[in-house]
Amino acid sequence: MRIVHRRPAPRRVAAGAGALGVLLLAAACSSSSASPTSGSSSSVINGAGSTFAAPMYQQWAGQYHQSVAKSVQINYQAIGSGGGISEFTQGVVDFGATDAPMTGTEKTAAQAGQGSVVLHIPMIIGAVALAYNEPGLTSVTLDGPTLANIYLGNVKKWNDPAIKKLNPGVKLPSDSIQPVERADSSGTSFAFTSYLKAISPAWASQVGASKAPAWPIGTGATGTSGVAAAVQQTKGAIGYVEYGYAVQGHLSVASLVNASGKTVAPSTASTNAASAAATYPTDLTDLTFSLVNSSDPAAYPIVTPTYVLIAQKQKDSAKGKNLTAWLKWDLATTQQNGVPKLGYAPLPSKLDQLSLAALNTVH
Amino acid sequence: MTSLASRRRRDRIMTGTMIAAVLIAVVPLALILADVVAKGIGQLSLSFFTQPEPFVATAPGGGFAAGIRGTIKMVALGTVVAVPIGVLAGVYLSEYHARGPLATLVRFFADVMTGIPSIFVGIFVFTVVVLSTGSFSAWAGGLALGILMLPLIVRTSEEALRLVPDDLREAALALGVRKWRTIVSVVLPTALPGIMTGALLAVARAAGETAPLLLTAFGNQLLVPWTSWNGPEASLTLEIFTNSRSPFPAQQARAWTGALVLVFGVLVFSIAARTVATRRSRRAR
Amino acid sequence: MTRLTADRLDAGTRPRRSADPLFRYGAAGCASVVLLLLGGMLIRTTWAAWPAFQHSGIGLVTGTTWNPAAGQFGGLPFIYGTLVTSAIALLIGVPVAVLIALFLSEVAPPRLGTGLGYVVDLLAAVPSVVYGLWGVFVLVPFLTPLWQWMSNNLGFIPLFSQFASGRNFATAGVILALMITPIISAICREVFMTVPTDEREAGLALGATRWEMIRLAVLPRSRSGVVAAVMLGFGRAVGETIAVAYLIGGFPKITPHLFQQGSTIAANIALQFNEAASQPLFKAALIALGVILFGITLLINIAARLIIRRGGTT
Repeated sequence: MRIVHRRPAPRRVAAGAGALGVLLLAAACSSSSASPTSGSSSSVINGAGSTFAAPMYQQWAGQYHQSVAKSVQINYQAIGSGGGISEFTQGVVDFGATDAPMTGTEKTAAQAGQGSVVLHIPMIIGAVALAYNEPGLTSVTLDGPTLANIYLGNVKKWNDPAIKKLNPGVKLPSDSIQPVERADSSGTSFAFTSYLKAISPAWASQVGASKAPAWPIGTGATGTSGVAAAVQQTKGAIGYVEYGYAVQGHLSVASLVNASGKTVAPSTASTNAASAAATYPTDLTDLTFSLVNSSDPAAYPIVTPTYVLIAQKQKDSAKGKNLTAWLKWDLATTQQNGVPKLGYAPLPSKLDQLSLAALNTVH
Repeated sequence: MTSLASRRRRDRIMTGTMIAAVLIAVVPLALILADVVAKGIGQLSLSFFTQPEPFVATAPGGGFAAGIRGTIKMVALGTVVAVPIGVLAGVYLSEYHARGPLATLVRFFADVMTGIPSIFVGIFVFTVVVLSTGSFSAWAGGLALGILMLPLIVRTSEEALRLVPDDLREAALALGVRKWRTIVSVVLPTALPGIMTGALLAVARAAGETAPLLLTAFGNQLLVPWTSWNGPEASLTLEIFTNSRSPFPAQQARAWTGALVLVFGVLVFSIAARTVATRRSRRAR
Repeated sequence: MTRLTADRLDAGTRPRRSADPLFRYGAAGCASVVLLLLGGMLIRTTWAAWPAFQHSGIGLVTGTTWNPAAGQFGGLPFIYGTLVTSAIALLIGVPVAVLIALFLSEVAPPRLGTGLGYVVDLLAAVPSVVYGLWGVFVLVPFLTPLWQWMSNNLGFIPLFSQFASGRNFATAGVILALMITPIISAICREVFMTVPTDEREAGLALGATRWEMIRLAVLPRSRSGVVAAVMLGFGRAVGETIAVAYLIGGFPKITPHLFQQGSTIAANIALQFNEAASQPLFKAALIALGVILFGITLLINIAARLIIRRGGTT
């Protein structure tokens, strides 16, 4: 047998590993007994929720960090409105983001979880566009009942008579329509199904409006971006996405027939028409409202605000100050004027004032 | 009895079918690697490793620095947790009461645990760590990865230790060395290449995990400091996952580049593990 | 000299020093960690899932409606999706894997065999998120026309009729097949290699062709090993989360049509967990499905390992 020279014996591997383990455990325990909120410093703020608003929040977070307060870092995870409400309720994020107002049950749970009254702060308005993938079809008009029938599975092909009637003279492809929807709990779904419920008795009775409705048919994708991606990749698909995603993803969008009978395409102007014509609540603790199916003749029918959920009484006052400062910055004129570039619409000034007033009650 | 010609023909057909089967496995692998390289190489640059994602989602450039750092942190934690415990467990299985009831049970269930759905480990660590600390964290993510790595390291360490010839142990004992010292100074160093193989394979596996991290580390676009472990953490796999389900070409490009980095990293570890293993077996001859 | 003698040498003749038992108990403790972890995971998660078991009872596995908002937690669509995609994966993957293993152990010259085996094993190293990414951008566009053709021309078979989407049971099954083939193939290769050369040579000496020799000498002796390999592959397929989440279509439904969208237990947990986390019953229901999934994989893995042990192969 060959004599092989061994390396010098490693020092007490077992004892060393044990000591390391004990140290790790001690470190883990000591840091978890520190601040109960996420992040280890008041200048790291965590938020989660709406994918609808994600591009705007993430851009604002980055710009704020770069040009206003270098010490403040905001991490926003787009997991859907339902996920945002849930994580906020559990206290694992500092603010939530949702396009759909919390239900009574959710509100009770959130206020219990945060130990304080929870405010909805409207931040921006956006249009829910119907993006579709039919290369030859540069524009198409749909109306509410047809849209409901598409998602109910009654209208199956692009050249269905119902669609033909709305688009006289347009050569429609014979492909099957593949509806795409949100598989996760979504405020965008809430806005979309609220519209369908308002204009289609069949939809109202069979499915109703909800963040996570029981879809009759369709492909489920995760996040607004997931829906947009699925539409982008599937010929014949149609899906509801935040308008900015359609624009920046180079997807065609359908025009809809609104409550006044006019055909309107989603745009900042048609979104503004819906938000300008609405009446707003005055209770600062419940600034929630609907913009769906507006009666204004120039309005796009599926418009929704998006809210930030914030505890009125902040657990960590330094973090709370940073958070409210950032949110107020987002509501300032310069930032609001910049939202159309991403496909959103700014808050009308009276609504902006209400949001700022609500933020002033946060302490 | 069928004719020799038809039997030979069947044999040739079956050989052809076997070759076809090999192609069915190899061709997709080649395609995946080719696609990952072709679609990912465009964005590959130093800044991909040093810069986080741009805060404007549609902007090109930027990188997955947050995810790469997070993966390194959490895989390192998983390794630090799983390797000492796993190697010592392997020592027990190989050196003490190798046929005893505890050893048999542990060996059996370690094998079984290599097949746990990783999402399940994520659920467990979520209920135990995330809920009690009140936050997603790199601790939780690293712990989940460690739990996934542990069974693999236990079994590969045991195998490596068993391969150490008894002569070495007996020589040491005959010289009056205590048993634990024998293990630490003679057996473990001899088995080190085999143990390293197991550790490298476990690292490769942990680096590729996504599902458990969804529930424990949660993800983060910001570059978290190396010293900060208490908040949400990104991982390379999570960033690929999020960016791949996007309609924006810039994000899709980053996802492919991330996939290129990940696949390359995993392959490097797997090949390193294989090289260490073959070198060990050559030395033992 | 056996190792038992060496132990005895060590035991009796010197005064006891504290390090030896300490080391032994430490090692035994670490070994026990494996069992404690497994037990702990089972207990903790079952406890967290208990409210759902109480609320829905057997309906968790038999109910067909999953509507958390209405308090309905029927998990059958997810169980169905999990089993169907895994079954498709096995149907495609097992023959391919066994043929590959046979090729590598019986046909290929040794150097080519090791090299190719290495390449096939690399398939197992590809992370599932990369499989998903590639699946969505490359596989789905490739398979969609094929599925549509099958739906149009072979639609008299209900399995293939009523194509709805490129993201469906079939596509998810195909990617799973790719993912489990290396595992099944690796174990089968080991199993085939343990067949004694005498048996092979006896067959060949009697004038059998290589395929006949395989059929007569190799395969019959490997049956239990192959079964174990298949079960392990099945366990892997059942637990796969991310790649399937990309490709299954995200729509919980029980349908015989393979070209329609579905969902699986693991994919659904990944999808809905964040939202469920603050709703106790919803969270419990998801964890309950996770426990059921874990139970299924545990049973499959235990059975497979027992078969391997009994068959005498490792």
